[in-house]
Amino acid sequence: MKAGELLIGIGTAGLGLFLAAQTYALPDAPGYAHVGPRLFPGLIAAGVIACGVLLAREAAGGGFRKLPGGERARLDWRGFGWISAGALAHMALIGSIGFIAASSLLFFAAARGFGSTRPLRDAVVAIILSGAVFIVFTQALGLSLPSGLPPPKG
Amino acid sequence: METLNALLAGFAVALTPHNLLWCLVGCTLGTAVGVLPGVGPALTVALLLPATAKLDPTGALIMFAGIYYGGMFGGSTTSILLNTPGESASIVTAIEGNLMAKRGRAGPALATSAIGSFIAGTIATLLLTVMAPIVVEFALKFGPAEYFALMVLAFTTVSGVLGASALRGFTSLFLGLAIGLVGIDALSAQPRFTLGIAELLDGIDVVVVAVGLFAVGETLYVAAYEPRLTETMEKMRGSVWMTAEDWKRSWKPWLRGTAVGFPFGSIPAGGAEIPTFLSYAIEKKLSPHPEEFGKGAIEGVAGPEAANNASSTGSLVPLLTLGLPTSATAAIILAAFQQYGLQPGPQLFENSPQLVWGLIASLYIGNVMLLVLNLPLVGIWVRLLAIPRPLLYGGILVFATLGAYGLRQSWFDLLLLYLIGLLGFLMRRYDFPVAPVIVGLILGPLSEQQYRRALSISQGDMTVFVSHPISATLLALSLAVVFGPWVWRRLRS
Repeated sequence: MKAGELLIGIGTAGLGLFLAAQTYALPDAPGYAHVGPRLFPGLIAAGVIACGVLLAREAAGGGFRKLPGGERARLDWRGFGWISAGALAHMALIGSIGFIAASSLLFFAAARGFGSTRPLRDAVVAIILSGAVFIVFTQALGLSLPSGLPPPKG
Repeated sequence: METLNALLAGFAVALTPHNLLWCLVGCTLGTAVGVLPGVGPALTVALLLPATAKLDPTGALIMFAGIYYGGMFGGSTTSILLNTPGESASIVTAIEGNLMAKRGRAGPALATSAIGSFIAGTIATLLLTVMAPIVVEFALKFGPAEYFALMVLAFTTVSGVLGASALRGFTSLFLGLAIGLVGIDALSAQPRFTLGIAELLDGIDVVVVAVGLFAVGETLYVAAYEPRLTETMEKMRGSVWMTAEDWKRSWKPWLRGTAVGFPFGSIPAGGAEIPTFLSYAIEKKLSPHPEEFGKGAIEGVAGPEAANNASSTGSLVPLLTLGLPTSATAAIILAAFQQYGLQPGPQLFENSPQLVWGLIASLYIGNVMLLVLNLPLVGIWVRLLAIPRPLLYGGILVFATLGAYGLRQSWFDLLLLYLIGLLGFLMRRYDFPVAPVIVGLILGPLSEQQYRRALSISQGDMTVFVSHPISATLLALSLAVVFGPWVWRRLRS
């Protein structure tokens, strides 16, 4: 019995049940062709539930089939944490501090997550890359990105 | 004759300076992302979708195609020098190719894979040119029931055939189909599965899903499980050129690899992995030097590399003629067509011959460009492999968030990107394939349309799918893909 795998199976089945409930709540207005809006989502919900149940059964009966072999290193929460923190900070800040600053921050956090020992180098590369990307994508490709500067007056 | 004229008109489109430039940009980018571990063509095309929405469709699609098959060329460099396949389709190349590099024969290994890719790509493009009009002719007879059955077959092969476990493949597929449901139902105009969130009314964009799974999920996984992994890169020693003996041992594997790869790509069986494994097995059997396999046999590089290139070009046959993607990258290229209001299929050949044939002609040109980019200039690409991992993954995340944010400048898309990244992390951890999610997401809404259309024509009569001979055959094949292996096991025991 593998706890993580069992959770994935149960989670998948749960998602399927949720989809089924949402499908059932759809207003059913069969057209002249008797094909209501529930039919297709209903099929998909059923598929998700079936997969979830079968996954849980595999997990309970000796684990998922044919997982790649070999010892897996222990999960390094530091790397995971740095990247998550970087991504969430980037999301929260990009509107106010602008694309260049937010992206530099994300880059720097990711480099920390990968165990970089050269913070100065990382910071310099972060700012140059973010700046270059900003210029290329806003000027050459016409994408609009927040500059982080206050809007011009007047 | 008609085909030849169409192709010549296509060359007139592809050879304009503008489109040549897009082709070169695509091939260069494709090679670069093929070389870099952690980035692939599917991710790159997805990232570029928001930034290319306003470009001319022909140029943009020529660039995307260049990225697609350029990635196949570049992937082999990483496999040979680093023993880390840059692409799943170059796993086999990594076996013999890396051993050749260890014996100081990195040059010939790179050369045989580049030349083999070129030959396979060119022959496959010729086959595509000949076959596309024939398939189009046939596909014009298809109605909604046939299209629906064809999509079901694509779903089952992409999920059931590839990967270690069909169950995990189907779980991925249904996940993609479920994500594709979110938003406003095209037929009843009702919002569904949006949880009352206004941002979800437009649905979950393929860019967010693809980038979340490929870039964020992958980065989280690598950071969590192998943050300090150091790879040893084999030095390029000696000449990149092949000896007469190398040529003699390579040309047959190139042709055989092409013969294996193209059909696999062009039937909706998806993926370039299977033909590479098949080609490797064939070469091992036919080689006059079987004892060299496992020590760096050049046939083991030449065959699979030709096979993966032929198969990626082959997969353009169903994509262009039927609108049927059989890999993650092909699915995202289909999304690119949709972004310009185009739907690949027989109608595209009738309504936009300039675009389709321009695209096909650009494949011939792109193959030549890639040969030049990859053989004399291989030294430049090798330097990319020296980028330290903290900087590489930092860069990947910057581009990933740019792609998601560039859609509509909303922080909500960034949140979604991170959540899908977490999903991608779990999928990677428990070995769920990603391609079925993308194919399900893109093809799901299209299949629902065809499904409903078929049923409205038949006035709700479900037997329409089995009373038409073509759709019945396709559905029977799908059933065989799903239950065949299980029945086979039962019969044997």
